[in-house]
Amino acid sequence: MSGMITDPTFDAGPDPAAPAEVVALDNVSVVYPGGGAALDSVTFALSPGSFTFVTGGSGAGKTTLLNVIGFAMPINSGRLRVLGHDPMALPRTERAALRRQIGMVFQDFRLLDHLSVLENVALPLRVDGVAESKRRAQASELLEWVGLGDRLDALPQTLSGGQKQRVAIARAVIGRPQLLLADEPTGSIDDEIGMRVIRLFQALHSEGTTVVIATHNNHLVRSLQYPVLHLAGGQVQSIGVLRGTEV
Amino acid sequence: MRRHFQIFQSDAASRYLPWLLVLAVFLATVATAGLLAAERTLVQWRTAVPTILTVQLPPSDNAAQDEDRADALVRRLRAEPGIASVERIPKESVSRLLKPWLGDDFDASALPLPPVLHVELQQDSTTTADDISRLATGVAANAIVDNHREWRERLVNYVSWLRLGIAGGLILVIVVTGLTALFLTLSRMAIHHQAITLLHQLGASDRFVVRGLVRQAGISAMISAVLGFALALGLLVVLTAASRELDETFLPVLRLDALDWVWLALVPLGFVIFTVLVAARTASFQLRRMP
Repeated sequence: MSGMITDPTFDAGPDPAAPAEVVALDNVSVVYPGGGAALDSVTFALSPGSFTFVTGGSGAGKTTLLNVIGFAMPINSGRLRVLGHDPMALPRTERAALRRQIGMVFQDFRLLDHLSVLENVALPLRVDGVAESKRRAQASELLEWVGLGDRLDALPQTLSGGQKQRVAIARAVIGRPQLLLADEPTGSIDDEIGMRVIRLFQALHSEGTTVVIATHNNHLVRSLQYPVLHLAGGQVQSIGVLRGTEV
Repeated sequence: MRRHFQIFQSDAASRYLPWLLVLAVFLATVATAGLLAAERTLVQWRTAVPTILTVQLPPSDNAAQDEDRADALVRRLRAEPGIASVERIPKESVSRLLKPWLGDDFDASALPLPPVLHVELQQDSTTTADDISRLATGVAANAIVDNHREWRERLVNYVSWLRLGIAGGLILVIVVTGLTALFLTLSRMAIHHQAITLLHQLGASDRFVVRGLVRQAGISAMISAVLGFALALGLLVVLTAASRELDETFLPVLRLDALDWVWLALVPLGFVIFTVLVAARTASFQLRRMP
């Protein structure tokens, strides 16, 4: 990856016990059930309020890395700390509470087909026990913002790929998470909506949310000048800010 | 937005459980009523029947002498301590007992019917059937004492086994219901695996997911239990009415008192709670295996 410079927000040798880090991976490896490393001795840490892109080719381990950070996937070795905790060492109820501080945008959207757009977006609030009127108001406002104000009662199967992605994004950010993990959030949407989504992420970032975005979109990465963690073959190849014109 | 939208969509597995529960509650209610009836019958037989004996004086050629002997035996037995009552069974009653075999047209007076005595011992009596037999043969050498105890013991044994059989059937219904709830829950969790994973990722506690899985099942289980109970009650009412014509001293009569109805009412409630608990425990156990 050319044009990369080291960024001070990344620690070369993370101390997983330090609460100052939102995410800390220390020699984390994930092995596929059939063998082969999805992540191979990955070590890095993210400071609170950082905004990071994760780049790499197909199969580089971007989605696996996000799943590991969101503890949706167990690790085979190494140490993981998220928001100051080792998630797998927490009791299940506390682990669930920790998850509520993390917003995730999945590449495959993962919308519940039998729920309306509004109900899908409001789901994290319902999980968190927020009153029905309040979650309806917040979900409506957010859907208006992502340009789906006229599709509140639509079912996901009636939406285009881009619309589904916007619903998934709205669902990820509605709980104002401390950590936002987005897997190709602009992959299925046009540039204009894509920029609106990024502005939404930036707005959250400005309020202190740590944002991690896995993307193929080099134009986006270059234009925003945020730190980049580049993966290849499940290993961290470089960490820094992309300033050049080539990747 | 619907106020309480279903987190998990209805599926084939969840539609099957209510019908199974209708059948299970029906069978369990009828079986419980059978158990209660069997218990009541056993109690009756163990208390009332052992004190009853029948004494027959085989007829001779001299009917007047037979009558005198019977009257003498009645007097003798009434004088004996430990005997609650001694009654001559009227000839009309004996004739009526023979009617099913001899038909309506026979003339009872033309038959040499034996005088029959109904002897009832006091509950705490130390007098035995052998004592009565000795007294009877003292008055009429060929007197026959029919001791109810022997055939009663056989009936008690039979009903005891019948009760065990019903209890076994009831346990089988409970086990089948539990296993069905368990496997249906596993099926539902497989069907909704993606939604469950998503909910976990959104920070839903296991309790939230379990509630989502079990809530609808619980509501339909309640409706099913009421339906199964109502069907069972219909059958029990018919059986109760039919059994009113039986002699409840000797035959198992289905008659339920207030406490029995309380027990029966607990059957559907118990099944709903049991089914929901099995489903909830199964779901909790499975969820704990997820990251």
